[in-house]
Amino acid sequence: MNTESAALQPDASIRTIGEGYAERFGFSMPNRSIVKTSQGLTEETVRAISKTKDEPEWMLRFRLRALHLFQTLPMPTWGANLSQLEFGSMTYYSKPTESAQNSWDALPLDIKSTYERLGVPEAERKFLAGVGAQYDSEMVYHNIREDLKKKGILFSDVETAVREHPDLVKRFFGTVVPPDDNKFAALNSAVWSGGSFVYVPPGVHVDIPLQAYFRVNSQAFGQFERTLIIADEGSFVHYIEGCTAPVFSKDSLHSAVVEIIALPNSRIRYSTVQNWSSNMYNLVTKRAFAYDNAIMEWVDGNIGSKVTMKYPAIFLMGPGARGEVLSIAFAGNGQEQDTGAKIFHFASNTSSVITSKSISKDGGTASYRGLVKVEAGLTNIKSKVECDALILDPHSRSNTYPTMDIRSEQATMEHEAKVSKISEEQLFYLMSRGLSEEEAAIMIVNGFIDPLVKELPMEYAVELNRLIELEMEGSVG
Amino acid sequence: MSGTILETLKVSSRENANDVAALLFPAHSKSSDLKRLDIVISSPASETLTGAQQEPLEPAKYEQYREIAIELEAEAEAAVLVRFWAAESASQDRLASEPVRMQAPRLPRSKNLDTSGSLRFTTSLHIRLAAHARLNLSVLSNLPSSFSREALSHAILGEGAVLTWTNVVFDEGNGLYTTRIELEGEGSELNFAGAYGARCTTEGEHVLSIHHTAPHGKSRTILKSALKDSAHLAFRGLIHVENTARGTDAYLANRNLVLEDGARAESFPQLKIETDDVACSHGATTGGPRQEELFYLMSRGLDRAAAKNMLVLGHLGSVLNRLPSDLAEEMESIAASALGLDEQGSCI
Repeated sequence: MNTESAALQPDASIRTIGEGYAERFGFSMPNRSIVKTSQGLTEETVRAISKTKDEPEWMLRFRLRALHLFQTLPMPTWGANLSQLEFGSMTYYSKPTESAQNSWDALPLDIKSTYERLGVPEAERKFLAGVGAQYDSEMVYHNIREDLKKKGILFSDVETAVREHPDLVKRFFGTVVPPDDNKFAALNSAVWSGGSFVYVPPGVHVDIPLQAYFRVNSQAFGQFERTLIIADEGSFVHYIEGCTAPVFSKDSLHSAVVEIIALPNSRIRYSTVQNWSSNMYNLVTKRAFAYDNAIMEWVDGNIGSKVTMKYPAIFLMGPGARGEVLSIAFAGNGQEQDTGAKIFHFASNTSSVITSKSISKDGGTASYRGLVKVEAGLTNIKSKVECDALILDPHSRSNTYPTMDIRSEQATMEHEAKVSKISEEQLFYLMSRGLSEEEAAIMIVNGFIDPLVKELPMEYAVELNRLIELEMEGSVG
Repeated sequence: MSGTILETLKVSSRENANDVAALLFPAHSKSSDLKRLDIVISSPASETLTGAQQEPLEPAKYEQYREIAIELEAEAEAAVLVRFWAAESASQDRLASEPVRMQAPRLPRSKNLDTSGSLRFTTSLHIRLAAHARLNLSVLSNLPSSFSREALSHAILGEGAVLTWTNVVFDEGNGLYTTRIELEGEGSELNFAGAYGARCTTEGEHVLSIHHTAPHGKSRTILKSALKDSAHLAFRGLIHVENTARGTDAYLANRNLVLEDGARAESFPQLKIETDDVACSHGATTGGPRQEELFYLMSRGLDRAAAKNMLVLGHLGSVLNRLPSDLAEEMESIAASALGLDEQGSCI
């Protein structure tokens, strides 16, 4: 196959990443799901999902309680426009193959070719860590390198963890994001399927980033993955989540819940590059608890989707904890990126930094919505928020809605935001050096997002720069 | 366009409102003196109170309502001071202008604002600047805790108009202050500075929205506050740049000084930008007095309280110093007493 041999060339694949969504990712494989629930969400659907997964009674009860909450909780009255979202016409679960595979060759051909076009095998060849690739809602491909296993690191899908480590799951599951947190967290809690479970034992340093490549295939199919990461005392882990989805004509919903627990002296970094197709509602609840002297870092890139509402949160629970959020959003034609960060200071000697960059173009809307809260009676608190926005044409919009709520005398809180277009002087300088206007604009935009890009592993950085270049094509002149 | 705003006001005035206090500066007039406007509110007579308690009346009839209008015609230049007084704090000899007195009956509890046990005082300030008019406006308010405030202000700036506004609020009662400024004319300019102080259980919310609808407008806004005890101030500062306002240059800053644990400063600066050719930014900082600065002042022989006071006055000073010097001094002493800088634990 021509496409297959082309995909095997690493250079070729990097060059073509993100090129024209419809041609490259807009392929829809024939639907060969084994189990697929009927459309709409009822108690039967939830029981069916739980039964298929052969879950213990406590998980079923958790799901049913969450379903009740989902039906009673109101839709958010703020943020992006969600009026076109139809909960009734979605399929809540489909299972592609009978059981998860850990060998690449054993995968069905069409699923394999989907991944090859996404470049997963290359990623593996580049000695990346275990790849948990999510096709529809089940882990179908899972590979943990032997050295991870030897160190006692648990990295699996959440279903496996429920079976094999019920004590750990029971202790932490739903404690960071309880089902009654918001409507979408309740929805996820009721119908969750797939997602990653990571446990790092005390003192263990995971040298290589753990990755899961998520993939949504069936039309009008909500993907409700649930990720739970626990870093035990003094450990370190970097988890990477990347998303691409094929183009479908009907709106799709992605509503994930990510729960992170950084126990004392540990450090967790969670990186995401989200590139959903432009008909996707991406409504995600991500939250981390950082205990004494722990460090939590969110690195968040939002390129795709129709509507994104995502505000990674950090609760600084113990003295000396530190939180950092780095995010970029790119809002193109018809897109609404409503992103930001939330930091809660609950202990003394804690600090936080939020750096947010957004670019809006072709009538897109990029909004920063954030919160920093400092409780009374705490000492030595530092927080810094910086929001920069670039608007590339007169029809695009940029909004900034930060909230700062400070009740302590011993706190220092700074917030700075600016919105501007690409500076004429910078363009002029680059053009005087022989670049075309378009090349100059791309270089400036790539420089603008550089603080985030340099925090990503190389493959992601290359992909992100390439995506920005593609998004920028034909935008000048 | 002369008189338009005054006529609109006369039509819209509520039945129980006192006469509209209006200042009109004709075209090309240059007045170098500061025009003073003293608005005095007095406590209700006891019979008014009894009457109000006996039969429930429409809230509108309870409200003490005051409208003030300032209009500058084309190329007029003026300086105006609007000052809100409570009768007990305003002795006749301190007033610069003929005071407008009004009775304030007790109000039922409002939903938006806790006015229980206090007198509700609502003011509405309208400002219109025609092409190339320049106004230097100071608005001062320090009402005792027996009054709750609801203040609405609305300013419209014509082509090339310049509005310099200094707003000083040390009200001890709860208050909701809403200000909307529209830069409607090309190349108009706003320079707004506010100083706010609160202590004890005072709650105040300051909503300031700056709308740029015409090209090449410029706005500079700074809001500074100091808070003590369990006071709670919230600042909502919006810069809204519409698609038609290309070349806008806007900045809004909010600096809050939290002097004691338990005092609460909330800051909601917002940017809504609908076109690309702009330079818009905002900044917000909240924090306590810096330990290094306190230590330095104390090493020079000041006690802790005096050092703190000096830092507070330094913080608010950049706004207060925009006032004429006699007023600036008076405001400093008002700030000191309103924040209870010279006393300890005086909240009841």
